[in-house]
Amino acid sequence: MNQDRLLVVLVPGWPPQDAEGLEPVIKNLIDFTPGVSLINPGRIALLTLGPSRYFGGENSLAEKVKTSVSKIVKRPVNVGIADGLFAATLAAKQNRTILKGKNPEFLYTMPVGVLPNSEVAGLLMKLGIKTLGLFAKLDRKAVLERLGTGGMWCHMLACGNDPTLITTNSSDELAKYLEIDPPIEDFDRVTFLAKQLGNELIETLEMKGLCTTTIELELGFEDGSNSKKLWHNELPFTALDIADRTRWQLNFIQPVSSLSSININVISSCVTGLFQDSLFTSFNSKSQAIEKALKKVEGIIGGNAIKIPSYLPSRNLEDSIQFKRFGETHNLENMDFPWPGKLPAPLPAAYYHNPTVIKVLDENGEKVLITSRALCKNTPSTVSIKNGPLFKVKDWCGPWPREERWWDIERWKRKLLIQVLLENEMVCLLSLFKEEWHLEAIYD
Amino acid sequence: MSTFLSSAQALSQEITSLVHLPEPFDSLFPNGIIPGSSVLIKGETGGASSIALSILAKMSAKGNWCCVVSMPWITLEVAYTMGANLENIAVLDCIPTKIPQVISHILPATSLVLIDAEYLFSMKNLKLLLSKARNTTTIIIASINPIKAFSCNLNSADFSRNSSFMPDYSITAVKSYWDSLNRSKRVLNRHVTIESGGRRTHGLRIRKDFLLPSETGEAVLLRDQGLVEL
Repeated sequence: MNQDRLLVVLVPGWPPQDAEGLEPVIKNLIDFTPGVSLINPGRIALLTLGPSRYFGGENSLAEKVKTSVSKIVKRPVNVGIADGLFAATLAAKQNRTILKGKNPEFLYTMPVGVLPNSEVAGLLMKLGIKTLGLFAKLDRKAVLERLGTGGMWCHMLACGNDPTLITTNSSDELAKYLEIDPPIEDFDRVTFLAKQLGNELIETLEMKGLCTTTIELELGFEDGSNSKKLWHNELPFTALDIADRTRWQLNFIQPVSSLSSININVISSCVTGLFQDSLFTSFNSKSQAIEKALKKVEGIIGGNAIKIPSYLPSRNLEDSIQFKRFGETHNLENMDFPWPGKLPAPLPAAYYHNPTVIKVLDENGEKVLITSRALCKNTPSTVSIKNGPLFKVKDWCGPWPREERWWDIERWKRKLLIQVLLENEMVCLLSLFKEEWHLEAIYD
Repeated sequence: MSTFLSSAQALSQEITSLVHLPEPFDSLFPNGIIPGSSVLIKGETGGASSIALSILAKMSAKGNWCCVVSMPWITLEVAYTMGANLENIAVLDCIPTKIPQVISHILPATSLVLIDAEYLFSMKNLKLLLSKARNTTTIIIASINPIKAFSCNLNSADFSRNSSFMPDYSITAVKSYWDSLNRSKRVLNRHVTIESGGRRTHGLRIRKDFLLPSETGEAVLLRDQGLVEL
């Protein structure tokens, strides 16, 4: 199977709503190759064929991309190269380059949980098929019979063949063009028009039994300028996905003049059958209803604002719940270790990711200080938020030092935590960080 | 006579189709609540978020789809320790102006919507939204961000003063105390007295003592204080 060599950049911890924030990264990557595509905020793919030759090999290209992106996002990033998007994303998680044609060996030991179809992954786990290698060994016909086309698609991924990039046929027949007269400035209206155009495109493709995973979106402006961008998607594009990409592209370029045309070109298409649900196995009215509802909501607030949580044992409360977009699988490693320093149960019901600065004073109105040996110099007596009422401290305990990522100079953090019981029976978790007290959480 | 019969019929239908809140909070409304009701959880002494999380955990664990709308401060790990099925929870972050539209779309597919009460208090199309919730039998639970009470000493009464939001039911943590901090070197469990009320209870108020959170994090019913005199 002819698959594109792809380099995937993963930016860990990138906010899922912030597609626009990656614009400087994409601009920078376009210097390496014009074939750059934002898959979703935090994951960017680029074609390696041309640039790898120019930069002296894939490893050298990966290093250059890594250094360049890390500088822009000011945090370490992961880079991986492999055949197809699925394998390249997994390779990026391990910062590896997988040689051409070596996808099956690389994927052999991976858990089935990494598959993008959670239903199939769950079923395989129940059947005792825990790795992609074991799944790949199954007979393709049997997989199609038992698990339907969704299972077949996952089987192809497990075998190292990414069906999302089967053929490349950019034909005029599969392009959709809309001239907007008079040109419009309102982004919301543009997204609506893009959704309509996307619907037309999806219908045309469906008539031919096709779907697309890579499109080129060209936006023309009143002043004669235009913006062209390549967009990939792991699953076939829907009209809403196309509307999303149009909005992102407009946010990236921040146009100064009104939009006068939208042109969508299909870059790669594949047979729809691979992505169709089987007739009986996936019928679930409840999940279909929520899927339908969330698709509608996606059109209003964007797909990245809809998140499905998953529990990941970790030391900090902010890391213990990981979020994914609806429909994506949670590829979480088993991290169920004893986490020394983790906040003991019961946990606070309200936790603030951006803690508010707070005043913690002793009886004489002096700021409460803690020694380097984690001992309180003076006793907390009152607590108040800026301009807020003053609360007397009834009881308190701590402090507990918490050192995070001591091995990483840039991300090293040392906090000292105390629990205080206030006069109104409210218990708060306070932290002393960079010589300032913060309200971390409330045991509400 | 016919009007009386039809209203009696409607009432009997209403009574037979009542639903119960998950344990142990079902004891606060022994007859159940009307499907599609709005419930305001208050706790001037703390406890509102824990009650909301406990209901969310139990509802999702039973396979119901639940949505948490614009409550970034809520600790979902607490719901997880209470037995929540996180795969049945959708967390939606949306700007306040889009909230009515978003909730309107998700109501037909979800059993529970958990939202920051502040947004409901200031919502313009609230009546329409609540009537849609009644039609789709989705329970809307509103809870106040505890930091509001902390930073500006506001309580639910302050928020609701200029609002058209009249919840069908209310759950109020009226009194609470924590087991000592210094003796155990950390917080252990909280004794909360919770009172039920609201316009749909026809003036009936029930008070019960709970351990919330208990040492395991779950809500435990301690004892019944019976009906509250009005």
